[in-house]
Amino acid sequence: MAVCLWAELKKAHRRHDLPVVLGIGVLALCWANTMKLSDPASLAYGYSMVLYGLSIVNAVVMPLSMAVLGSRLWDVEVRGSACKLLYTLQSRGSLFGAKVALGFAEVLVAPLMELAGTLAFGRIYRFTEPLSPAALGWFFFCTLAVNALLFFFELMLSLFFENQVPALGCGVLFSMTGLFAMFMPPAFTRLLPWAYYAVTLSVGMVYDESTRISTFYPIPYPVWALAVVVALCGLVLMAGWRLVRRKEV
Amino acid sequence: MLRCCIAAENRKLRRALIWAVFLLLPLLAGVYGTVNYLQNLEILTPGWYNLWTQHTLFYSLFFFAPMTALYTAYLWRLEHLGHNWNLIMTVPVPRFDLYLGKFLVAWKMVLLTQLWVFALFVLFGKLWVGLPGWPPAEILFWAVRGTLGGAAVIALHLVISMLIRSFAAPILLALAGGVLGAYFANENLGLFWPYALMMSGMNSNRAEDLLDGRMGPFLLACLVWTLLAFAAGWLLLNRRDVRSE
Amino acid sequence: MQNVIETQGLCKTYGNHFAVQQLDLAVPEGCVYGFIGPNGAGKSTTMKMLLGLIAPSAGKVLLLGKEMNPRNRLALLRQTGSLIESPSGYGHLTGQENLEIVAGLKGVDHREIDRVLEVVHLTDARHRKLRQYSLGMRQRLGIAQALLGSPKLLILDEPTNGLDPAGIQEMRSLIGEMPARCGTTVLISSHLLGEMEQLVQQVGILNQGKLLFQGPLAQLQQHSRGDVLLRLLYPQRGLQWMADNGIRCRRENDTLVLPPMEEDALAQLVQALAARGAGVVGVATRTRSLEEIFLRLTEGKEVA
Repeated sequence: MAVCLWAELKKAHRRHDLPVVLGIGVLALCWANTMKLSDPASLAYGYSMVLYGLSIVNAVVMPLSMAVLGSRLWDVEVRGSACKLLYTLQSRGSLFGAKVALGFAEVLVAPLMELAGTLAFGRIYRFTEPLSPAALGWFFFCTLAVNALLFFFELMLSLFFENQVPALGCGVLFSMTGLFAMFMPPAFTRLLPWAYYAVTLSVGMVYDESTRISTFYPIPYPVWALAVVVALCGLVLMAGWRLVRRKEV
Repeated sequence: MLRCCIAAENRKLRRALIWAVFLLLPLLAGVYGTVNYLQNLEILTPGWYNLWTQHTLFYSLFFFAPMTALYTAYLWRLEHLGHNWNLIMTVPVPRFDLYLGKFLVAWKMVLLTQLWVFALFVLFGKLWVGLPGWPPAEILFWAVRGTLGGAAVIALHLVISMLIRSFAAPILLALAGGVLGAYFANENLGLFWPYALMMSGMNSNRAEDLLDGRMGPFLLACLVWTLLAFAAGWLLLNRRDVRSE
Repeated sequence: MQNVIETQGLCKTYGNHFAVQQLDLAVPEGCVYGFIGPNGAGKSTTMKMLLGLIAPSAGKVLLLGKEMNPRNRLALLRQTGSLIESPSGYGHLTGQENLEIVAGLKGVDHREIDRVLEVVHLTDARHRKLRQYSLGMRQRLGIAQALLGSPKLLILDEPTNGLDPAGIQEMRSLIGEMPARCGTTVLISSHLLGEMEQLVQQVGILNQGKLLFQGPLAQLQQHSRGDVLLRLLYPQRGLQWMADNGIRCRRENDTLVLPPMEEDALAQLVQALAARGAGVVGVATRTRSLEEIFLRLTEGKEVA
């Protein structure tokens, strides 16, 4: 397994995965930074506001980004027509396992950056809201879980179609509908797994039309939502594994 | 010559499935826009203009650019794979025609998509929302004007995807461009950022014509960005050795 | 005779590495020219420069008497068919559709497609997707693409790659006929000289970017006159006589191996040996195969 992972890392050499992975986090954070974080009125809700804002940002940025990561990871094999060779060198399980492991490591970067970014915003803008490590941790795990779900799904599309249009096309569509879902009734939003950035949120918002001020309040952690995402993750991984095992080259 | 190139590009796009994205994306945007419009009737001034905003705001702001980038990336991916650079560079066709052929094929797709957006808008407006009368003609004009902004995005991404052999990365760049575009448009600097031109042209974030009296600068901006991208592409095509794999 | 391809001092460098060095090719009209060298010798690089795919670092290329430059490029490409490195094509399209694209871009009548498909025996497979083609079929399609429009000059980079023996034979006869039938000049590269032997009239041998030999095949074959083998009943006596007369030779069991020599000299030598009672029972000359000459050339040895 270690050898397979090493091979994956070698393939990633000169593929410039790192800039792409970091770029995703930077994009999300820059966008979050355009919220009026330094506004005195919002300091009391600082962290909640950042988490709330990031969930919207993630809904737009992450589905497409995950499609990009997944597609790049599999596309090296398509371009090199390498599957024929690899399937004779290593077990299909180890190839898939190595892809999943490296992919997961890449997926991990953006939520970590968001975590660090949220803390940094707190320092820079001097939020007066007390920091709730539990809420932050919850946000991290939920973002990671939804990201991983999308990544595995897109990886599966990439390997099923080889033509990378379906995977990326899906990424664009998911991003768009994910954003739309933010403005739709919650019952509808829950139907879209890629909209779970919002569904898993532990922060609620009320917008006062007259004063134009948003206030935030904590809501109990929707544990069921995280459970749904994790379960779906497992399903998609299993489906992907079946696909790799059955695929003829 | 150019006609040959366009015909060749059209042939290459057979069985590519890529039109499905162009069909679905506006459709979903339209459905969402209409639902949102109906949900927010108490805040919005009812009418064709506000329905237009609801239909096209997010579409033109964030998702038009990635969708277009997907198209141009696919056009180049066909050449990046399978040693096809050797082929297209040894056929007796001016390199520029080849490049222009790709541009025109992509632009035609964008034009059709915009007309599809408008058709959906009219359809949903009449049959679903039941708006009285017909939409103002200027909205059709905006839809077509959006393709000029689209041209700048296409030209830019033709260069990017020619240069970056990765299929996926340029699409992420387009999303980043769109997000930045929202920022630029907000600061009234939309004309200085190619990804924001489309939204300005579509006039999708306000009911009154944003470009009223500023058509000249808008057209100039579209032209300048498109030409700059073309110049870059032209230089790269002529100065660089062909690498087929 | 006019040269269809001529290069003058052609160089290509990548950083400090010389891929092609001071190349002066001359390919006469109406011949099949074998461009031969081991893998990585610079054959593909040279061919790409001929076609204007990559720019030379120095020197120039003349095709059909005109310099290959941006101004003449299209006019020259219109009279050229090529297959470089691996065959090109779009995997999601059928063989027929791929040829339609090339025919369209070359401005060739689409009826030509039927003809070239017939020539490369792909007529039955024309409606299958390229992705499903075997390597040999792709190679044929690549050649069909090159043949579209009956070009005056064909540049083929290892066109027999991936073909089965029957296919190689077929391809050879197809290419061999081209000059006589259509007046086409063919530049064909290979890493095997032996493979080209029955096909080409002119050869150029390239190694590490340098041209080691260029000229008619017959000239190269002159080098193939090899060692003389003398089988003797009493090799020791023969060896003694050789040593006395200062003739270099080597003993292999009952056989003496001598360097190549003129036939007169050989006759005299045999006579003298017989007179010495060496008991000459066999005289043979070992012909060196082209492959051996090629190997000697590319290994930097002299061709004796």
